[in-house]
Amino acid sequence: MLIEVKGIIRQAEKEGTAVYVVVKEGQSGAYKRHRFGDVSEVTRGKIINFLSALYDVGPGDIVWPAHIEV
Amino acid sequence: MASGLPDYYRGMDVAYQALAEMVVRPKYGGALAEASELVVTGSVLNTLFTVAGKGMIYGGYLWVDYTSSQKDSIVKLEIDGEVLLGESFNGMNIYGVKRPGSFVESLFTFDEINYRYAVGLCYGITFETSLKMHYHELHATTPIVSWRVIYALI
Repeated sequence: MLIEVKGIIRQAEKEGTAVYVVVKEGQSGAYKRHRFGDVSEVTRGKIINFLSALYDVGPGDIVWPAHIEV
Repeated sequence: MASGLPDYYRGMDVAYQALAEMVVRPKYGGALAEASELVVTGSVLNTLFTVAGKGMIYGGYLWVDYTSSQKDSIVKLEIDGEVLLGESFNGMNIYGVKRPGSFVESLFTFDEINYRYAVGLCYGITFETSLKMHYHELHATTPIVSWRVIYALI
C-alpha cells in the first residue's frame, strides 16, 4: 500500500508545540491525520520511519512530494 | 465519439465533445481543522501554527478576549514564505475592512470596552508549499489567542 505524505502541521498548544502528519492512504484515497512526536524530533527520516511502522510498509512505499519541507 | 466521428479521427478533446453538461470542480482532500489557543508572548511575532504542504483555506477565524486593549496587534498570514500584509484590529475598524472576502482578513469584532477582538480569514486562499499564521502582539501583554482554521491539502 502506498502512503503519500500530504502535509506536516505544527501547532502551538497548551502543552507545547504539537506536530501532525497528514497522509493519503493507498487506494482508498482517505486522508488521515496522525500525531507525531515532539517538535524537536521532526525530520524527514523520522517521519518516514514513523509511517512505515504505523502502516507496516517499507520506506519505499512512503511517497514524499518535493514541495513538502520539514 | 459523441460527435459521431470515429475515434481514430481525433483523440479525446473535451471542447469537441457534444456533452449535455459537464461538472468541473477542484479536487482537494478532506477538510482539516486547526483549533487551539496560546498565551502569546508580548511585543513579538508569535507563530500559532504552520502547515507544510499544498492546499487551500476554506475559512477560519481568530479571537482575543483579554483584560486590556489589543487594538494595535496584528494577525498575519504567511503563504509560501511571503508574509501577506496584515492590518491591526484598530486599522481594520477605522477603514472598515469588515466585508468577508474583501481582504486576506476581515474584522468580525472590535470591542474596546470588553476588549474582545476577532478576525476571519478569506475563503479560497491557496498555498503551494506552506501556510503559517502569526499573531504580532504590540501592547507588551500576554493575552490568550484562540483560533479555528479549516483548510484542505491536495
